[in-house]
Amino acid sequence: MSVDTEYQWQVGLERGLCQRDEAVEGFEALVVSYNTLLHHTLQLEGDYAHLNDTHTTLRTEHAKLADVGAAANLDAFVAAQKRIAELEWQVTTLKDERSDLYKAQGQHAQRLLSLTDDVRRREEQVRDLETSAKATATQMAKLQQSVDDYFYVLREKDGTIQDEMTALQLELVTKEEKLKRVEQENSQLVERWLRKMNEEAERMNDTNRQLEAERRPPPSVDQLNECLGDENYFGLGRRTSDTNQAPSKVPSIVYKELENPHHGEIHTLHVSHDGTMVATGGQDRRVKVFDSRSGNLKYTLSGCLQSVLHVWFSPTDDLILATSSDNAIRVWALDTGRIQHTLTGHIGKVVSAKFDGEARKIISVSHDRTIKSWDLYRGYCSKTIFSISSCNDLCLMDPQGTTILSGHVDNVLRVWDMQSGNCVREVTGLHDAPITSLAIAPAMTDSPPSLIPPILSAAFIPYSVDHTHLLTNAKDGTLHILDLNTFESVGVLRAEGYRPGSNWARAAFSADGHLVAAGSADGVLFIWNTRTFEVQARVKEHTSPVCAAFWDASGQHFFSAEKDQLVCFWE
Amino acid sequence: MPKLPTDEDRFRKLVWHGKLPIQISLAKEDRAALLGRASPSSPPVYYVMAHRCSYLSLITDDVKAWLEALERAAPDRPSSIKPTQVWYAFNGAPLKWHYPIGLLYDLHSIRHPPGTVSAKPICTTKLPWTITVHLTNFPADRLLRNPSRDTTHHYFMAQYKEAEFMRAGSTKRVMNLPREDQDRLWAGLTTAEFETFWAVNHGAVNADDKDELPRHVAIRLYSRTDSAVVQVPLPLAELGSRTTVGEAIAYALRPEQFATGHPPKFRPEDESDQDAPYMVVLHGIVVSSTTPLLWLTRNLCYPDNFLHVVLL
Repeated sequence: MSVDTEYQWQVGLERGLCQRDEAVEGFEALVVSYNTLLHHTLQLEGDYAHLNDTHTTLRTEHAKLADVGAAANLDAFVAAQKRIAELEWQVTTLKDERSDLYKAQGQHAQRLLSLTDDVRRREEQVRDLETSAKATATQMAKLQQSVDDYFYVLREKDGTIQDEMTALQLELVTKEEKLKRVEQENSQLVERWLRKMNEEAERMNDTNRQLEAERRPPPSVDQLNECLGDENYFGLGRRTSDTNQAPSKVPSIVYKELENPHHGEIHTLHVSHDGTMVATGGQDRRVKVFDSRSGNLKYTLSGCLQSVLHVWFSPTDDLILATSSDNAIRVWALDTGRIQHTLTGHIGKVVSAKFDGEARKIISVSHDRTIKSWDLYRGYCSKTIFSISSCNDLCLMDPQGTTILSGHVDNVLRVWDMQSGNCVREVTGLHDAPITSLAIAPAMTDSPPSLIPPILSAAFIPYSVDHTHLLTNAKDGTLHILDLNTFESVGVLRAEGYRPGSNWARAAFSADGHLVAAGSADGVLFIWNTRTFEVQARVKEHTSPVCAAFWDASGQHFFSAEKDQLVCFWE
Repeated sequence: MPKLPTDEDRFRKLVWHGKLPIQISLAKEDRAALLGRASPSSPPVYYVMAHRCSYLSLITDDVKAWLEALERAAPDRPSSIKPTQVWYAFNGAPLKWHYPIGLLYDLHSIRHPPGTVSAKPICTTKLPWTITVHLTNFPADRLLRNPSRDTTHHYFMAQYKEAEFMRAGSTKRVMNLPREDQDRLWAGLTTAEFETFWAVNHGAVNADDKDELPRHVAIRLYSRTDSAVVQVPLPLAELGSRTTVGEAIAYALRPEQFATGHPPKFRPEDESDQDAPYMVVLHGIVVSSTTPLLWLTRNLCYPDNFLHVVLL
């Protein structure tokens, strides 16, 4: 089929359909309008019918009403009126009667209520009486009990009085013993005095010998000594060589007790390197320096605004520093007793600080998690290191302070390079609690200490390069001795009942490194032997937590301070 | 929803929107009963513009409303109209409510123009189409009973499925339509919304007709002369896709001749259709017997997808 024909018949069909629709189209409008009209018409018809209905009903009603009006009778009306009045009267009388009855009912109810109240009150009275009877009975029983008790107490007191008597007798005996001992001591002292005199005489002889020797050309060791100069400042040097023969002693006797040196708690103590002075610091914001022999107060150094946390002598003992809760470090010159530096910059309390070997700078650690190095020539902070944990104590590994050790509250020991400010090493797993103090050991060799060249031991006794061991004290009740070459624990010191006294409880090596001392929270001082790692002695003089304990450089004297106002000098 | 191809829709729309004005008058025998004593001299008349694709039973609601209004206008009568008893007649002949209105009109009122046989526009009875409405004496022997809306709906769906069965060989596609789509078919038809109806009809039923031939053509032939209805399944595949409507009718009326291999030939070149035994009337117009049957089934179906062809 061609397109044309297809198209053609389609056109035809379409035309047909269209014509069909055209024929129809006209009707559409017509039908619509027809329907509208039809609708209207029907509505109107309905309305009309309705109106018609209403009209007729109204008319009939009207007619009915008219009929009723006509039929209304006056007589009937009057009779009805009378009847109504009668009924109303009846209603009123009945109403009155009803109200009377209501009233009576109300009164009855009232009486019933009051009666029940009475009954209840009686019951309560009975109950009260019963309880009071019971109370009286118990009171009686109690009184009987107390009578018995008094009997018993009286008998006991009798016993105690007898006990007291025996105790007093015992005391008398002990007092007599003490007297004996004092006499003994007296004789000892006399003996010592004699010995001292002898020594002095010998020293005089020595001096004479030396004077003679000076006339000869001096030996090389003496030359070195002179080059270093100032060795007299390092009284230690002499002492070390003097006492090399005498090992450090376990403290046994308290030869001096200072009671209440501060107004308030004591926080720290330090012994000067020549052993002549002891400094303490405490809550009363003062640093006090005592003579280590007589215990006399030499200086009172004030200036701190809050409590003193840490004091430290410079290697030459001419300066002393104190760190304080007021975030500052203060340095006093001991010859004048005046403040030389006030170093501010920390934003937390400064818990520890140390001088370097030449007192040229101070390195401090603070609660604000920083370690700062202070230049004492210029008097300001030359380096700040940010640590991730706040640190409780520090130690210098070398006299220049280029490498330092810090003990942190996160139980970690860190090693810092002060030049670069980097953390060189972290020693973890040592302690299970915050580290409270660090101390570098003097040489821990069994060889005679005299083998150490006297110059080195003199100049760098606190920071000796030979001294390769570190003591760490921690809140977990253990102390570790570390080899500083390997940073591995050489030995653990622990003791039953040992518990560090505070967050900054300082432990110390003795001058020869053979002993370690640390004070416990209950006031007991523990002395360990570093060769056996055993407790060598426990000494109890203090009654409250010990905050610091130090030997002097000779190892002959020992100093300890407790929180509650007692400083003890031991020998 | 698939897009409707506009080209095809041209004829579908024409078929769909075809309307017929109807004048409905109340039958004489029912006037007295409904309007009582005040029977007006002129019979009450109602006009309606009916869709050719709709059904008489669907306009009964409007007619009933009109009759009730009339009844109210006549006083003191209770409503006596039962919708299932309403029936319509043309010239006394009852009108089958289940045929589309367009088909009824074609069947009853289209005539040859007097004298000529070939003139294209067929002379019809005058418009509007006048029919009567009856309220009593339902001719149950000649009409399907119970001409309600629901019955019409069911009848329509049955026709729809039948047509689908003839085309596709099964009613699966209709049965598988979702409930709401089936409802939409009927709603589209009753509200005469082309888009609603054809969205479903096109998408669900006629979607792939382009590619394959329907198995049979759903065509129904109505003859007025002997009032016979012929429905023969026309195997389109056998007859060929170019079968014309004339050939199809010839096959339907004399299928045995096809079997002998001598199909009666319409002469397509003879446009006057002089020799054509029948005139093919569809949707109120004469359709040339040379029109392709396939095209017709796709474009000029009633909504039930049947080609209701009246033969004159």
